[in-house]
Amino acid sequence: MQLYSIAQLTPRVVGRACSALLRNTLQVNQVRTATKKAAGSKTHMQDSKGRRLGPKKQNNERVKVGQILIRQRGTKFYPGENAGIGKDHTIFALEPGWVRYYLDPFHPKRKFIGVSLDRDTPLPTPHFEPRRRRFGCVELTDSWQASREEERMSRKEYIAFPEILSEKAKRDARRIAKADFYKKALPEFVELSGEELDIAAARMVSVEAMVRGGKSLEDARFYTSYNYGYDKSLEVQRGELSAASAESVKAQYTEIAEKLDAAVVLDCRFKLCKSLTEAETEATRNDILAQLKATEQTPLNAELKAHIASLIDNQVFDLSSRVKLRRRFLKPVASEPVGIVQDDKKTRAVIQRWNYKENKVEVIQRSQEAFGVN
Amino acid sequence: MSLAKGVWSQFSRRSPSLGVSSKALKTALLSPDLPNGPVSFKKRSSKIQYQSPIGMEQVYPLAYEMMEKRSEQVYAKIDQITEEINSAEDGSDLKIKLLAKKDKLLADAEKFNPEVLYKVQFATNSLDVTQPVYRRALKEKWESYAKMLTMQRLETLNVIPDTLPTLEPEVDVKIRFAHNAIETYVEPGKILSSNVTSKPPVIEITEFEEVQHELYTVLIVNPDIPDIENDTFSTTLHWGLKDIPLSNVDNVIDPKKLLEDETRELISYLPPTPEKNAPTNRLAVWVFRQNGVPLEKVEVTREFFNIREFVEQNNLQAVGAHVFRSTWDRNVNRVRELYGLPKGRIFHRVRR
Repeated sequence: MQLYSIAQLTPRVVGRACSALLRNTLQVNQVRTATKKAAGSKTHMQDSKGRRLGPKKQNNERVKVGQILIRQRGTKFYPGENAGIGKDHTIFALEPGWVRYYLDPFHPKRKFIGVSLDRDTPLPTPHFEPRRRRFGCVELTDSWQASREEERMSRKEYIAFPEILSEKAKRDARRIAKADFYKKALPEFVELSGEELDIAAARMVSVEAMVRGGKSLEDARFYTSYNYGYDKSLEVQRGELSAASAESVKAQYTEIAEKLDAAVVLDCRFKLCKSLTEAETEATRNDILAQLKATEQTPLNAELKAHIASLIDNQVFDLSSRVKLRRRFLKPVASEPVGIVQDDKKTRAVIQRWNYKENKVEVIQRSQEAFGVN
Repeated sequence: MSLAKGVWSQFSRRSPSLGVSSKALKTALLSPDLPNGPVSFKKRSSKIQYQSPIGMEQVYPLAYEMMEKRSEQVYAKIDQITEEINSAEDGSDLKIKLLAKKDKLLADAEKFNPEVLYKVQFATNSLDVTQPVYRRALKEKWESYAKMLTMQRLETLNVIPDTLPTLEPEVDVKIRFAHNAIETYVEPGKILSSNVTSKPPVIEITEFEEVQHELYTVLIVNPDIPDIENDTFSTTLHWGLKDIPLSNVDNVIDPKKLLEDETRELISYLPPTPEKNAPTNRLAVWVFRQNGVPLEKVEVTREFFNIREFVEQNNLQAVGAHVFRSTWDRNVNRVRELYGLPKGRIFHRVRR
């Protein structure tokens, strides 16, 4: 009967039973095991010990330099007068005195801790009043200690000192050499006696230094005379020179200076030259320009180049006109129509360049003529 | 081709300094399309390559014409005001007000002129300070940097309020020590060698308003001289000058000016000679305008000088300041000998 009844079951019913069986075998059974929480609560065990913050000195308390006035997190208080602040915002005393907790109308949102130098002076000092300051240094009265302290050097200075001295010695030597040069050179331009020559050479050394430093020749001369006069009046002040003799010395110096300035000038390259009148300058300039123009037709060779350079290197031309003249008369390459050739034998240089007007590369051959004659 | 046809090309009434003198520059500034590029181009290839921005040819002349017309209107207003000034009483408030207004208008009339703008930008060292427009440009330049720098140094170094309560700066004060072979303008607050400061400085005072013949007082004070008796500091007067006549153009106080009249020196120059291990000395240069009133019977003391009292007594108005610093160096002894000063004190290097 049972067999029969099974046989009678439709294929659909069999299929349903099979799928149920399959489902049961694939299902993962949930198992509950013994568990424990992995970590504690977020704020558990986060309490530190007290940091001992707070004011260490009260208002009107006496303090010494460096004593701590308050320990704090952030700037609950700001350092006021004679107080400093550390990297953890600790406020400390910079001067000995009396602690003051105060408000400053210029910073209405801040509280300050300062140190007053006097028992009775309140803080803050009025904003437009001068600060009350303590000097606090002790004078060394013992001469040995004092001289030792005076000679004491910082590490930086100690290391640099030998070089400073040697540089100074070099400078002095250069100055002496310069003065010797002027003592030899000046007699060519102006007649001076032995003592006068020394003064004149010293003057020229100073004038040259000032001109090289950027002053005009006129200013350099003025300040050289001024320095001389000033030094003489300081000698009078020191009592080394009487007022009358100072006047006579100054007058003598002025005389020499006038004589010297009338005779010599420094050109734009600081070369010593004879002083020329305006007319002479103009005439020389015109003469040289005419000579230069005459060379324009001749092709340049080394000799001519040297000649032109020597013509341009004249006191009548300033720096900018020298540059202009050199550009015009000592062109390293002649202007375009000169020395353009087609002949390969004559060509010394082939120049390829972009022609912006025609938008193409052009090739130009130039002969030796364009670069001067060797 | 030049654009200029209106008021900006006429120099019969306007100063020639309101235009550029170089012909090449003028062409570059006043052509509609900037032929061959900016004048600063040196290479021929750069000049050939240059193309002016698209539309410049149309826009630039139009803009120029518009601005020039506006300028013409301002000049018409100036004419009106000039008539009013001529009819106003000398020294009256009205006249002063009108003169100030005229200056403002004169600057406004030129503020968009390309030639003026070029000079303001590139020829700052040779501007004609008689022209209001250039004075205004100089003032703007000063306010953008030098004024702020000076005020910052005066405040952080506590020159204010240690010497005087405060300062509303109106003039630019520059100093240099011209007796040296190499000289530069001293940046406010700089520490200088005592060799450099061994002789008096040259002081330049730039006014930005029109000034014809104004008198100035200059004081150099040092508030850092040790006062051991009271364990504090005292102020010393290093240099005092009075009744120095200056104008917009002639604005330099140098030895040439001081040699003209020796009574202008209130007290002779004393160089800073700090003592070893004492704090760095601040030398405050204070410039006062006297408002045309010469100082009479002024007596000053070098040591324990009270600058506040001096200013109050003489009714001076502080208009500018400068500061430089000086500290002990190996040249101090030489400078002291030069001036016949006693040897400096030496302090213990640990401050107690």
